Amino acid sequence: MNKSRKRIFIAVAVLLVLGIILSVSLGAVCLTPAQLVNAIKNGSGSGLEGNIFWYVRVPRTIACLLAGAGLAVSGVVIQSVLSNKLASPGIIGVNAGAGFAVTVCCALGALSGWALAGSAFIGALLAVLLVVGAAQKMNASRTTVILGGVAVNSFLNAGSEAIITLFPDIGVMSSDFRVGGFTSVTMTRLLPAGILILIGLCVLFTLCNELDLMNLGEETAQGLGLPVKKMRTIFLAVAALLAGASVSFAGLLGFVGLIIPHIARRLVGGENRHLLPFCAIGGAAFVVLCDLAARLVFQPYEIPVGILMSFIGGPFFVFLLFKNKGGHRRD
Amino acid sequence: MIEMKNVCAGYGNEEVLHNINLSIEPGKVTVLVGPNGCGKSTLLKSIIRLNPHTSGTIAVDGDLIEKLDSSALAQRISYLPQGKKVPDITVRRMVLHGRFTYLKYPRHYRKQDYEMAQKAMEWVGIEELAEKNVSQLSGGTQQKVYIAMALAQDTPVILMDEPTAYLDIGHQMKLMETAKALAAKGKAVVMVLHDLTQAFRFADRIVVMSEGEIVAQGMPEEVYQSAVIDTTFRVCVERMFTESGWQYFYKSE
Repeated sequence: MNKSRKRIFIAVAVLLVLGIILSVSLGAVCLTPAQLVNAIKNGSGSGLEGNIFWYVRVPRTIACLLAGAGLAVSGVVIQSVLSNKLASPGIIGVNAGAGFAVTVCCALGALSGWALAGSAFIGALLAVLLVVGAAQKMNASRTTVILGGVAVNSFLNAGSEAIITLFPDIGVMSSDFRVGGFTSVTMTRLLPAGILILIGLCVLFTLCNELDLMNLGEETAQGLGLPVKKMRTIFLAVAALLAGASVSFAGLLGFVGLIIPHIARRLVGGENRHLLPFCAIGGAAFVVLCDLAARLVFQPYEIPVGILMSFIGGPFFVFLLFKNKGGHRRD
Repeated sequence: MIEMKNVCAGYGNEEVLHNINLSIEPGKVTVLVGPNGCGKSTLLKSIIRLNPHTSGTIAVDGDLIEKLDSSALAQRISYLPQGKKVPDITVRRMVLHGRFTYLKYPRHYRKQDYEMAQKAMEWVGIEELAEKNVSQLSGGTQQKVYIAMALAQDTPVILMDEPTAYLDIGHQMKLMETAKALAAKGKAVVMVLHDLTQAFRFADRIVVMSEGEIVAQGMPEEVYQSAVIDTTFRVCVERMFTESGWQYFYKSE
């Protein structure tokens, strides 16, 4: 790793650590360093501060880290496999597929963490396979893939809304879930999703070379000995696992999988052995800091972090569209 | 050695190659020529299973290609495609990926892989660009990076689809000399070329294709004498002997 890249890695890691410390300290109730140390030492039995630390701040911070890393890395993988830098789990319908599956799961009364994470994965996988399968069958352009994803997004979100209308008592589809947020995260719900995200990240970190080859195009990759069709399916499945598991506790958090990969490529280049770990760290830092801002900026009110991300991500997406203007002409 | 017997292949329901019989021999530069859309690229793609053949047999050193997995096939045949993507990675890393098919657990490139990649970069003259990003290079230099990657794969058979595209005349000549040098080492080099002059000058064997069929094959002199180039391309070929050998000229009919 060259020196400048190492410096960038260290800087983002420091940012992440800082974000974690602030995230467990600040909020409606601010914890002093002494209270933090006391809570860590004595566990949840150390009074109100201990309860806030262990039952609110820690799960929420871990959720931010997992969702940030999962969605950002999922975004890199989807962009590589589709050869489309406008793609991300939130844009091509992966998150919406997961959200729909979670809604169905809740409507059926299956509320355990494993049921939610598992159904989110299946929903995300079906959505991505639908979009990618249709695009390949029609030999669709990059822009058409995005539009197809937007259509799938709308359809699945409408499906989710219809289920909520029919089953108004299901708690999961709160506004926090619809735009993405961490206020209702619990360790029970987080644990299964967290395990799936960590497994997905470990699998991808061993497949960096394969992902590099996917970026060279199908013909070159196959010529180099990569079983392209099999690997494409594996990559999409793992991307769906990461995005689906993230959605199961963070809701329909958009734009992390779009913004972070773009910034990361600029900072550390496109080699996946650097890009994937950097996206994991950068995505985690980004979501932790955004969540912190969402908690603090409008105090005493707290806005779901998804709203803040949409304020950042929307203009960023438009910027990318203009930057790639005539993208359909370059297909 | 690659042996194609009665091979038909195409895209979907459209058959592009009809009844191809071809032997690609080691130690020779075989050049495929023919009008646009005659099936030259499809022929190369069928050999590496990018366009699986619908009938007939394709064997590499006696083994049917469908019996070989992707990795085993890539250890015997390297392929430089016509359309290429420009990745956002360094030249060294990209050339190193030519060694992907030899990757074993724990999935890190070994010292000998780095050495082979270095040798391949030196062969095409891009070793000084090793730490540059491929996306920042000119089209011709990117082409050389792809060629180095194919050389790093170090296979007995090398398939190149229009490798001289984007290269200036000096680098075209150097590439053709590299192809000759590889053939001299016993490798089978197959190239799709549009430049008939280079095909006649450098090929050991020329295969002329038209409308999905092989209409002639043989040594350059045999192909020239058969006048099949004239009928296939609808041009008149003439040649003149110079100090550097035969020079070929074309004029429309």
